Amino acid sequence: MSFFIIKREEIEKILESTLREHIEELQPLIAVEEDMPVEIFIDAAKRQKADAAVVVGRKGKIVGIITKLDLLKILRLELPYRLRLLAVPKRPKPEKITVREIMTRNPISLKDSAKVRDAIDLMSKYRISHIIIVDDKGKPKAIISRRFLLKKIFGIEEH
Amino acid sequence: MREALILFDITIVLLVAKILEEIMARLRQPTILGDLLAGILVGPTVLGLVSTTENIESLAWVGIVILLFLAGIESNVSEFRKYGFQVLLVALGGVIACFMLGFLYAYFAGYDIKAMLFLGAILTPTSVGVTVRTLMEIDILHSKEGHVILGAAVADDVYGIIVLALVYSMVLENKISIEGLYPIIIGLLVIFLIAFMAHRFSLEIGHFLRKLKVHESAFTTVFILGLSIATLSAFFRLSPLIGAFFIGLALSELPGSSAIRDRLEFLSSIITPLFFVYAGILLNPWSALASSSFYRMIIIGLTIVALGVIGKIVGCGLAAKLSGMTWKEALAIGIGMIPRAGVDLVIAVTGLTIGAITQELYFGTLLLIYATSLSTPVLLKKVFKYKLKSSR
Repeated sequence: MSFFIIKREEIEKILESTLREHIEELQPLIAVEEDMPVEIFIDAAKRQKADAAVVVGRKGKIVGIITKLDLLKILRLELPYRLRLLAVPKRPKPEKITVREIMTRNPISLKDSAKVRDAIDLMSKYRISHIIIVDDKGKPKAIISRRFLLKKIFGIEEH
Repeated sequence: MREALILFDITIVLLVAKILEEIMARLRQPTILGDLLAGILVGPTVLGLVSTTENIESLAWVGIVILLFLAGIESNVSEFRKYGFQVLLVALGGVIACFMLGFLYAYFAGYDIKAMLFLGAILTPTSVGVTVRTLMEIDILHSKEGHVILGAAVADDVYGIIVLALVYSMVLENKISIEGLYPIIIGLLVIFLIAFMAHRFSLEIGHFLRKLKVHESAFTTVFILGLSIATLSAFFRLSPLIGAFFIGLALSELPGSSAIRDRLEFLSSIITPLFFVYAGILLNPWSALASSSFYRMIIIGLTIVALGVIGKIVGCGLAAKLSGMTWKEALAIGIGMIPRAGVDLVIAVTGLTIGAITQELYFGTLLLIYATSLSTPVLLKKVFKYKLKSSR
């Protein structure tokens, strides 16, 4: 019996394959602007069954990533209150929350020529669930998630 | 036995600090007041459990460097661009007024030039955590006044760090002259240049970090980078804090910064309180009483509180009025800028450890921190009444 739903050799093949080879299987990329209200993301995620979106700034540069889990930040009773000399704790009104306020800044991205193995390595190194795949010019192409990899290799559906 | 004593000191300090932090959090006060109180409690002022600071001193300084580094990483460069000219003006008004008041008071009270410079510097920063909480409670954080206060407080701390660097190096040089300013200017230029380069090459640094093999090496490398620039700025006699803050700011757009920040926060939650406890342990009113009277200490303390409050209300208020706000709004902003409990404490500890200020003045600073934190919410609610009424 094996842990895997596919043969070991095939796993090795997946790990060594480039991200480009998987772009087709991944959900279509959603991109939102950082100044948009969070609702736009919720809407798009619902319609396209995606769980993350690339956040772009005014000039179209990638500035962040927003995932379903980030939405929980809106619901938190109180933002963690620590001593901050500069960053001030903010709790905006729910309807005024923009993507910028709950996204993760400066996300990790990989070129589409990188291997799946590299993506897994970075996911564990930075303890992140999503990596943005970009082309040679740095333009976002897709988002690869832990969920996708778990399903592909172990057949596990993460909810 | 020495190892047991070191561990005892660190354990007792952390334990008491965390208990008091929890209490302060429940009282809706900044947790740093708990750390400071812990230091006053276990230090020579009350219990005398930890009478010397040598066992926690080095960790304390690492702790404050981490905090400033973290503060830098958490803010981002674009945030500074967002706040306009008005905000910079309001902050500058408070800084100038407070510095002048502190400086002149120390002069008339007969202190030397070192104390004059440091007392001026101590009064300059603002720590608006308390204000933000209060404004949230009465739901006017997202008002014009709220916005100005938030922005000015950000600018204010940066001014404070720079003022500290200037004052620190003037006192260490032991003279104030034009030639004495050269190393400061060169030091500042070098730090800014390094920070600029680090910001410019964020992507490349990020790629380099990814390639490292050792466990958690991205985090440790960034941490060591922060420590090195802090040390470098200390070598230029600019105090380590300015280096720590600006390199943090420069790295705020590093890919994967949020993962690195999470780890820094974790580290900071353990080590940074040691600095504020250390600040509390440094207070020793009994040694001050040997050379001065109880009444003198109280009077000095109350004067410092008064100057700190007046300086912000008048300085920030006038600047706000000048920038086109009404008197009422200007007053509200001035009051919002009163609280201390941050960079000011760092400046006071620095001043005390290099012998620039006396225990009396240090006592006054701590009194200022507690008095302003406790009174600002009450004052703010009073002064914002006009806003509450008009919106209903």
